[in-house]
Amino acid sequence: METFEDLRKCWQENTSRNDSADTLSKESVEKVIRSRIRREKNTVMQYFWASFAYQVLIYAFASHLIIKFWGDGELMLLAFCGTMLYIPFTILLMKKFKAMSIRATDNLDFSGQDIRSSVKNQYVLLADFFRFKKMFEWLAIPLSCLIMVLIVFKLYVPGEIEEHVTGAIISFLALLSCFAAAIYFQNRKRFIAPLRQLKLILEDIAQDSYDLFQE
Amino acid sequence: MNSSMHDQFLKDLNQNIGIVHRVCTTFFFNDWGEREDVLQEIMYQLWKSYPHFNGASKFSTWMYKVSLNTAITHVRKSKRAPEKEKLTDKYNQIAESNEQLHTEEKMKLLYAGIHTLSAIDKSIILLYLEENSYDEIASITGLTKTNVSVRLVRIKKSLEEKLKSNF
Repeated sequence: METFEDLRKCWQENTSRNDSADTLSKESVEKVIRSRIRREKNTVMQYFWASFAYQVLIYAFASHLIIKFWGDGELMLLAFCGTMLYIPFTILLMKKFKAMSIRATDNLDFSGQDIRSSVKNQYVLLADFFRFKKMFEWLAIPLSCLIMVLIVFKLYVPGEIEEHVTGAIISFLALLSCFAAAIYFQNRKRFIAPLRQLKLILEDIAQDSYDLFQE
Repeated sequence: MNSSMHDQFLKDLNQNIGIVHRVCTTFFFNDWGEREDVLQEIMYQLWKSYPHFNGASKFSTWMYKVSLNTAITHVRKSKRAPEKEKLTDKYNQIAESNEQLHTEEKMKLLYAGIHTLSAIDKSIILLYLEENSYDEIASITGLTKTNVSVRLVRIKKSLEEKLKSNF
């Protein structure tokens, strides 16, 4: 049985021996940096295209309805409401996401930050974005579902909602459930699990310094 | 980053490249793929942050900060949860089969022991093994010097117990 100090000595001997063996060439470092820049760009572009396609669908559908049913006040109002509902949220969402992704990738300056500050900043940033996203979801998703159901019943169901109240409610709830399920799984993967992990690290740090959360 | 700064970065990086390797091995001991990935990510973060390095601290201290922060972030993004694990049977077998352990095997066993610790404890013990002072460990982790000292006693005790049961 060797003591921890023996292993520590072994570590130090081993590291001093290996340190000189691993020098990197200029080409290999440049290759790594180029590949990372490409990867980062791809991640941002993936989000951009997904978001762009979704918005094009929403606005194209609303414009189509307004043009096709020009003069039908009720339908135009619904399409207009749908568009108006999404414009400010789209702008805000993009701004928040941009701020988060820029800070998370491009300008995340680890150089002046100790581990505790870095983890705390990541937690605050992610929690802030998640809070905003949840607010958006609670407000915009039920309203979107309502507008969609109203439009579909107005366009394709004879007698419209007045004659099919139960059907409309079921459609609304079904649509809302689909959105809720998708959002739940997305939030769990992208926000709840990462936030829990960050909180665990923060709690671990705070074990011996109870003032962490009071700062 | 201009050419001369890039050359200086390469020179500084090569002088301290062992830090990056040891951080990667400490955090991703059992996973070669993740280790390679985080190694590249650390190099990229170092390259991006290098213009912000103002020489206020030692280059190695700055490098530990960037490397450990990147590794901890990578653990969070990684699919595997950073749970505490028991020493693997693989390393138990190594320990049982050799009476006189070779340096490499001892290192593997030590890494396996460290791998069972939490992210912060891993960082602290790595910095301790690398002969950083308590002040430096405190500055890198953001803990107070007293906290570092208290935690080190606890970590060493826990590691010694784990290693003892595997020798």
